[in-house]
Amino acid sequence: MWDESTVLMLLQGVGESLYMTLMSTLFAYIIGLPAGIFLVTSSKDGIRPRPWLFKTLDVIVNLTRSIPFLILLVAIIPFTRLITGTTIGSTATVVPLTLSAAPFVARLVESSLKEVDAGVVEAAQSMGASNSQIVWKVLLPESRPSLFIGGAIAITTILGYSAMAGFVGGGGLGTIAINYGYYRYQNGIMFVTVVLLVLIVQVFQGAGMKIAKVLDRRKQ
Amino acid sequence: MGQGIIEIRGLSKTFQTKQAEIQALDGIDLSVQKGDIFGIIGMSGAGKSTLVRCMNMLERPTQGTVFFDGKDLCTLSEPELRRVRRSIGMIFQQFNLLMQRTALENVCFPLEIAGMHRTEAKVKAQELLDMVGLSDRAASYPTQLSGGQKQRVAIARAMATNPKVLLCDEATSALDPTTTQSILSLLKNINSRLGITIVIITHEMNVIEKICNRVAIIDSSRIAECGLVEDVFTNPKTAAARKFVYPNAESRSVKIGRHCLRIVFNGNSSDEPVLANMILACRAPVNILHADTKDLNGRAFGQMVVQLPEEQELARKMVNYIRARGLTAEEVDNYVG
Repeated sequence: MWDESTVLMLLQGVGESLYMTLMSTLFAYIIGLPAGIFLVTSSKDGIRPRPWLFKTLDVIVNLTRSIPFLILLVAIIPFTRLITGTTIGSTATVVPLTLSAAPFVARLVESSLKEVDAGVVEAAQSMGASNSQIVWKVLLPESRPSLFIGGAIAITTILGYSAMAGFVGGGGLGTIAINYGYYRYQNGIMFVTVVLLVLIVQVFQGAGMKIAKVLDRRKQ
Repeated sequence: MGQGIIEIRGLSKTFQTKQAEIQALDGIDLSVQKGDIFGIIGMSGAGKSTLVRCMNMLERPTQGTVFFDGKDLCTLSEPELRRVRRSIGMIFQQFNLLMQRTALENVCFPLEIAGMHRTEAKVKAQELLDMVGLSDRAASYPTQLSGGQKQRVAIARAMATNPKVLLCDEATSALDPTTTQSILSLLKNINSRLGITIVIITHEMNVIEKICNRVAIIDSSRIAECGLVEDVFTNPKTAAARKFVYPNAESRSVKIGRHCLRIVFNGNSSDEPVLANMILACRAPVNILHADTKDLNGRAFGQMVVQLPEEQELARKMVNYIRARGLTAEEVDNYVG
């Protein structure tokens, strides 16, 4: 079982899983971070209340969050093909992963920013800070530790989703686990992929918490 | 429009909640002069925090106008308002420092907001920390500072943009008495040395006593009384004012004297032992029922209630003696104290 080709295949699987996870996390934050910021600033007690904007974002986030990942993955196949030119493999999986993770990220960002004390925002306003200055100089830096913890949660969740995509040829460790463990009854290889997934989760979770702790100036 | 640095005319503020409309402020007229240390005192929920927030438009009034340095704040555009806010510093009960920034970086914050270069801002911030006596804590984060130190950082931060007015919202309410005194001294110092007008919101009379020259008493959304601290202290005209000046007077309401005399001290006879001299002159003792005198800027203020003798002739003699000494004396029947 441990011949060179198997090890290479597992290494490639790890590489693909990391690629899918990191790319999707990046794109999910490109969409989810601004969405999370607007969810906070446009809310009723935000710095720039805009009920229609808040309501729209809120509904979109809730709708997309309630679609199960595997169904979303299948449902948007035409869209995925339009963007990546293919529907299998790790690059194709990045599209549904991003779409599925973005609203989740938006909620994580929203809850992190809401931890910032309203009094601090008020103090910044009293000094003549504009709304964009409040976002960039108060809300984001003050919630930095919480944002990194959220990042660790997002990345590990996305990794789990990427493994699920293995069922439809999504690539990475998930595909290996399904091809060998499920279709060929080679439990050994499936077990190894599970261990590898657990290790990757541990590394990301640990790194995220560590960064959050090092950056937090509140408990030193 | 008057010449005051802050002129408030007919200001009302209502908050709309799902259940009801809450009137926080109702027809407030107020004038704060340049160089004042203006105290606004009231019970919690009286509307004083809303009032101070209207002075820099953190709360927009429902009705009325707020003039700052001749400008009607209600009509300014957002960018204009932001510029004006740089001339109005504000400090808070909970300090509201940025937790992820050092003391120095906190003081730099308003300067960065105003567009000052980082290195220039750091030099200025260091000077301000020197002024509040915290130059050695520049690199500390707020969690490493005590409450008094945090408020000093907040004061330095509020002073960074060279404001004309400093608004203090219950700035000493979260501090112990000793720290409160030192923060008040710092504020007084800022007022007298830099000529910065200070508006202080508080529910503590001793804060007003210690540093204010003018006071407004706010009671259930309205200004009950407003004037020089000495005047309001010696001669409170309204029930709301009396509640603050004589906080214990209201609690007891037992009738303890029939024919009494209320003597008001207003600062000009503090060296003379008036009451002892009166007793010696009239050769009759009096019973002191109530005494509450305070030292304000080195002069005695307050009032005393004494029970007069039954004998009419003697009582009249005593009243005349007190009045001849230039004190206000008022005969009160059935004094309840």
